[in-house]
Amino acid sequence: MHVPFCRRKCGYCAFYSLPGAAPAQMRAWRERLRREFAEFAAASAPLHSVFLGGGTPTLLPPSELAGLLTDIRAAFTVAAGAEISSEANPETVTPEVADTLAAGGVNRVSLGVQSFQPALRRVLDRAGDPAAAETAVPRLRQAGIHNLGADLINAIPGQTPPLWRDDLRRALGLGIAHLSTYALTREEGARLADSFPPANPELEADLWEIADTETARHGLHRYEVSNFARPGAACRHNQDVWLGAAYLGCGPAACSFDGALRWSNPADLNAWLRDPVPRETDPLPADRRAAEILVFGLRTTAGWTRDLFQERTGFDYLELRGRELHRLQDQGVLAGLPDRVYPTPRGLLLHDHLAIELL
Amino acid sequence: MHGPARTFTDAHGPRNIRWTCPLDVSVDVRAGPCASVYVRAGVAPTPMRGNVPAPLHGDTKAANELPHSKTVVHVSRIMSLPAPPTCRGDLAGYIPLLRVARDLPMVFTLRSRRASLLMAAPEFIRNFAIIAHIDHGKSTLADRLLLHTHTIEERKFQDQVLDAMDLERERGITIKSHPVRMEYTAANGQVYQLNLIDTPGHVDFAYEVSRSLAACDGGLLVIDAVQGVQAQTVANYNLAVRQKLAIIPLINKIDLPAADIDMCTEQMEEILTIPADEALLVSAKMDIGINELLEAVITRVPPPNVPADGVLRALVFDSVYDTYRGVVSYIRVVSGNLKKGDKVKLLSNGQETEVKDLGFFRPAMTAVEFLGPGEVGFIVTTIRSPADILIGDTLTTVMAPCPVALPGFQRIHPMVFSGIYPCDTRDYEQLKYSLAKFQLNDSALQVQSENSPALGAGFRCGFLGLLHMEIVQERLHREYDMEVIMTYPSVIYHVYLTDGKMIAIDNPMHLPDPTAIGHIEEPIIIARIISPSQYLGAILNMVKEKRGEDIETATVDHLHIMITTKLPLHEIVVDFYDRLKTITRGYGSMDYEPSGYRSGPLVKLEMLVNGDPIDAFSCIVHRDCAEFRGRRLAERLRDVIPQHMFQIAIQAAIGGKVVARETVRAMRKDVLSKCYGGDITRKRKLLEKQKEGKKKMKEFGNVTIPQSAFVEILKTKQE
Ligand SMILES: Nc1nc2c(ncn2[C@@H]2O[C@H](COP(=O)(O)OP(=O)(O)OP(=O)(O)O)[C@@H](O)[C@H]2O)c(=O)[nH]1
Ligand code: SF4
Ligand SMILES: [Mg+2]
Repeated sequence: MHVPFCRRKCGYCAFYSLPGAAPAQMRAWRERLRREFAEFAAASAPLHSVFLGGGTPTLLPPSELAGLLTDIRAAFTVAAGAEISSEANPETVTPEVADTLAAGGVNRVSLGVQSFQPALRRVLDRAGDPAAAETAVPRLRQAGIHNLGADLINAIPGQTPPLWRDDLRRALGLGIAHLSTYALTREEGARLADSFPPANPELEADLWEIADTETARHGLHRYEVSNFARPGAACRHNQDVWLGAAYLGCGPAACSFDGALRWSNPADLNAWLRDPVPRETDPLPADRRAAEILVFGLRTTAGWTRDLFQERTGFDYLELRGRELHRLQDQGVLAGLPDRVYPTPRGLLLHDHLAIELL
Repeated sequence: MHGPARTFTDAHGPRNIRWTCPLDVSVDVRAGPCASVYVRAGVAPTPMRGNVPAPLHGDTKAANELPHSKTVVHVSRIMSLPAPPTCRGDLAGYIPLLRVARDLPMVFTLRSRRASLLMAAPEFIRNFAIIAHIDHGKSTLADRLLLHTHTIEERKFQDQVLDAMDLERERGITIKSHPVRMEYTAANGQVYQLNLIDTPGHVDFAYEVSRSLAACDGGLLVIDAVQGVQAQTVANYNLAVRQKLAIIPLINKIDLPAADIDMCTEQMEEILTIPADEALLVSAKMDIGINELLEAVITRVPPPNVPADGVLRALVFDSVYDTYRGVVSYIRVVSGNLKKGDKVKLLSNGQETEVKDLGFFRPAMTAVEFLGPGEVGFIVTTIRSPADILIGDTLTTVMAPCPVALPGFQRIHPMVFSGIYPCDTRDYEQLKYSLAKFQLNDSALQVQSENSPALGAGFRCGFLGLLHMEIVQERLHREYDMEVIMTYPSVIYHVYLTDGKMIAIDNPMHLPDPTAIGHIEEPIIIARIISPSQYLGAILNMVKEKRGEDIETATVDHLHIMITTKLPLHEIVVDFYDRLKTITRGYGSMDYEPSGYRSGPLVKLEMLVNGDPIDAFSCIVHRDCAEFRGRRLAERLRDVIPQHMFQIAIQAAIGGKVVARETVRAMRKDVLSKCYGGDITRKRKLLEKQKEGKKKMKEFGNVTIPQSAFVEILKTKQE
């Protein structure tokens, strides 16, 4: 679910979101969303996970938020024990919001911290009180949501290894079970993109290793290029996306995959409000789609078993890309062949390289 | 429908003219083998525009079928005048001026265009080239002349309009010579036909200039008022003097605040020995002094000198390949007449052919019926391959050939050689085809197939210089979509073997075993460098470092010096010019010409990547600077080879001994960690784009080197 509303636009952000949206826009959005649910509900299997992302889902007035969660359940069958996650900006997590989430069945919350350092937040041009996370966590726990995670950005200009370590420690000190972290990228569409210096792979590799060490101390392990979790706390939704499972994205800019075809909604609220939604599809021949799924599955540390890949794509990966896979295994970036294939720790750091070989 | 038959008499006897519509014809007879016919709408029953009797209008073929008259084309504007023209100065307003070749039955060409674009008597023709150092404003001056003579309409005009190639426009330089014909009504009332050739300024294209000059009787020597006399000014001036052209020096850009006319005239007197008062003051950009210039062209450039025998002699001074027309040869008719259908032959090899089409440049190719003595234009013949038309050849008639060939030019010899290889070996055939096509339009480019252990099958190509080489690469990419790699440039070495034999090699790979070599000689050039005096020391240091000998200095004026020196060609191929520009803060200029061979202690420098020699980077260098060169090259390679998943060793070796070593460290991180909201499509497309980029790289074992690296290593690193 893409919730395209934010209080204000952060300088580094290239997601589709509308700062300071009017309540009328939010109502129109919900209204349209219900119709989009209806469009797909009949054909949809029971949902194993639901993910509210954005934007800032927790910016919705509690009544709208509760309504949204009810709408989902009304339209789709949500499987028993499904993972229902929401992103949240720490400063928006009032006791009321926390209760609304919990009451609506949300059992996992990911807090968009990005950095605790005021100076680095200024570089990102991200508003909000860095200490808000420290209040939000107990509030969510009190409301009954225990599966909590945080998002941090690294390689922010000015972020030295000690500062990064500091951010990690503060986030992990909250007792979270999940951590997402990615290196800041200059993205087209972000207000400050041009002011960020080009990436420094050496430094990023150092920060990567620091993240491995620090998370390990708190019992978290990297399970995907930019995600760490306690055993059993990996984000199911996220993993499904990497491993070629079908998912439905609703709301402007949301992306979907039905097992064969990918499509995306327009990154424009008004365009998406139209009927029918002018969607963009991404058709690909079956073998290239399978190669794509192979590549993205290799972003997870567990990678593929031959059976799972066969089940998801209908292809045998050795028939599809045997020569390339073996070469990459020889180069030491992949391991596990023939029955499994997964990236070595070094291979994970060089994922783009192996992706280019395999696509 | 047919008009009255009329008879007129000219110097060559009476002729019959039968008009196919009621037009009044009056005749003006001039000296020379041609007659001019002026037509006036006297008794035309209706205004002629849009109302020309059908067989007369526009269609050559239809007109050809008319009884008694051969060709009538393009009547589009006819004006009525009270009296027929009687004298030359009184023609304005009359439409078509017809020129009639003596030995033909009456042939008419009616045109709305002003008269003298068509065949003019030699005394009313002026042929001249614009020559100068790079960027002194030749093409801008040509623009101005085209506008003043209304050759190009103001609204169709764009700056440097003659620079038609995309690459020329983009870089703001002229690569090819561009001829164009103009009509100019002089102060004396006479209409003149002016044939102008805009020439390139860069030293690599000096050959273009010298060929163009052979088609001219005068030269406009442009001198930038701020920069003054530069190396190519001297070189082009010398070329023009050698061709015995009338030279009109002009100081351009006088509108600039920094213009220094006194400096320019002093330099002219000092180094070109041209009296200061001969110079015209012009601003091509601001349109100052152009009328005076045009008048000077009329009075100071002599009309073409036409041998009186009337035999056809035409000099082929260039040729291009046009997709639609085939081979288009640029010619200067020295004497005689040329018309469509004529059987002609090339004197050098006796090859016979037929004139299919002929015309002049305006600046687009414009067809005419005749080219007469003194005129510059183009012809298309039945010859299909540009290689069959030797530039500098003499064209004459099969029936009455001229006895002696015109002085042609020396064949151009490429100076710099490099291997061209497709990035993707599967593109070999495509490259072969592209190069063949390319050669059609670039006679200076030499191509031969060759094989490289590291690069596979490719071509050894000869170029005029480094700019030429760069331009070939760029045009291959742009016009033929070919991604190629060019190996480190080489010159032709004369290798004398111990058994007394001499072999010429243009590729270090072919250098025989040192034990078999007696000595090696390398090509030498005479360089002429002009610079402000304060950089003399720095220039001399560089010249010495580059093994310059016989160094002489002369003053250009009280602030500038000219240095002449003999240098190995190899030394100036790669980074000499860039460095000269750097040490003289852009004020220095250089020109050179070949000057034989000299023996030297030369060795082969090899570059190894992860232990494998890569012949694309090898070169032959002087023993004393081999180590230094090796270090430099290794550093450059370290900077341009991207990080791989493993460490890469780069070594420079002379005769198997490593003299320099650099390392490209292994890449540690290469992953875009951000991927959000299941937008896999976008991320995959990014990766696919990267993969596409990799196709522009060349694999050597497991090391991939980007195409750009081969270009980058030739550039001087600015310290
Ligand atoms: N101010 C000023 N600039 C001029 C004048 N004439 C030419 N320029 C400028 O000088 C630059 C070079 O002009 P070109 O006409 O391309 O020079 P060129 O001699 O044809 O150059 P090449 O063909 O590359 O040798 C351009 O930027 C022109 O606008 C002038 O009279 N005054
Ligand atoms: S980073 Fe998050 S909170 Fe900031 S503008 Fe983007 S979506 Fe909104
Ligand atoms: Mg020019």
